[in-house]
Amino acid sequence: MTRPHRRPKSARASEEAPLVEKARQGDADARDALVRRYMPDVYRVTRRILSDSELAEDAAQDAVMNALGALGSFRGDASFRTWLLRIAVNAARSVGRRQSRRREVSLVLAEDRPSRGVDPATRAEQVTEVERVSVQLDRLPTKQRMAVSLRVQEGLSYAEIATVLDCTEGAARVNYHLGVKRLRELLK
Amino acid sequence: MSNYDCDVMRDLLPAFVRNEALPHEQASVQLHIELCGDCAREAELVRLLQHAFDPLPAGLEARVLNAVRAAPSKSTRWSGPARLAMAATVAITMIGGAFAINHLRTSDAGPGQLLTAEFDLPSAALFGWVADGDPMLHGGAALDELTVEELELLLAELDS
Repeated sequence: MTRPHRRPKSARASEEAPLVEKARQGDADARDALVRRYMPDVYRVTRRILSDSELAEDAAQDAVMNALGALGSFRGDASFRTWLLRIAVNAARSVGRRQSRRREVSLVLAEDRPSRGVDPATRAEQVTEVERVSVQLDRLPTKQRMAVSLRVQEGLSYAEIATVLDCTEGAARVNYHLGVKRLRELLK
Repeated sequence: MSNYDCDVMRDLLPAFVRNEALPHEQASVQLHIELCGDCAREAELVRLLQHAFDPLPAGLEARVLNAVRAAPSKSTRWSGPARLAMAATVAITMIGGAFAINHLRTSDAGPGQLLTAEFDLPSAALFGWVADGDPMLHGGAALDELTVEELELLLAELDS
């Protein structure tokens, strides 16, 4: 069995280029369309990094504002979505650091953080399978958690994950597989 | 079932569960997970993972759209109010320049001597002119002799 070939560009990626260009030229409708299209993706990423939903919302807003403000510098080396998700990761980290300095509590990126206020051991039986998976996903180390989330939930390739997380493609692949392996152990 | 086959299949699982793999890959993965229990269990985990996220909170999209619309436009095309503001700026600069010219004095030394204006530093800065008493004009000032205000003016000149 040979390795998979490079996939053809998705319809979604080919639709975004003209929209991005119009938004770059100041088209307000195109700009709004970009916000509507990618808001869920951005929020998923910030929420996966920050356990506090309000902070995740703030980070998502910061990410979108930063991205639209920096549209002129988007060169098209990566897809707009990949570029935007990288900004989202940076925004979430920035919000998390600010909050950490204010409250002098540990930054909620560690694997031992309480998952969304739930005790996995006691609540696991009461929740659905999806919720159980989500709770355990939150327990993974940040890089593994993000690699799994970006690969499975955002559908990114390893190269795109590397761009978003600012790591090598090899590290993205390893973190994904380690993350899945660890998840399987946590869910036994 | 080789480990290599499982490695390849597991790489494909995220696309497979989204039904986004190439047709022959979809078929290969489907056949593989029917034969490999371990990969079938991982496929089920990936399927659950796909839905394991919080939905977009109500109102967030609207809030962000409002913030985006309220932000100053970064468009290269000038809007009506922006054009008026630019025209006003140009007018003020021209009026200020004409006012400055009326106050120019010439040097006794003849041609080649710089025309200077009899403004103090803050007034000169208002019109973007270098004032007569400006240490940078006479070349006698080192940067560390300048005050904070003078340094800030100089930076503003360099940035403009």
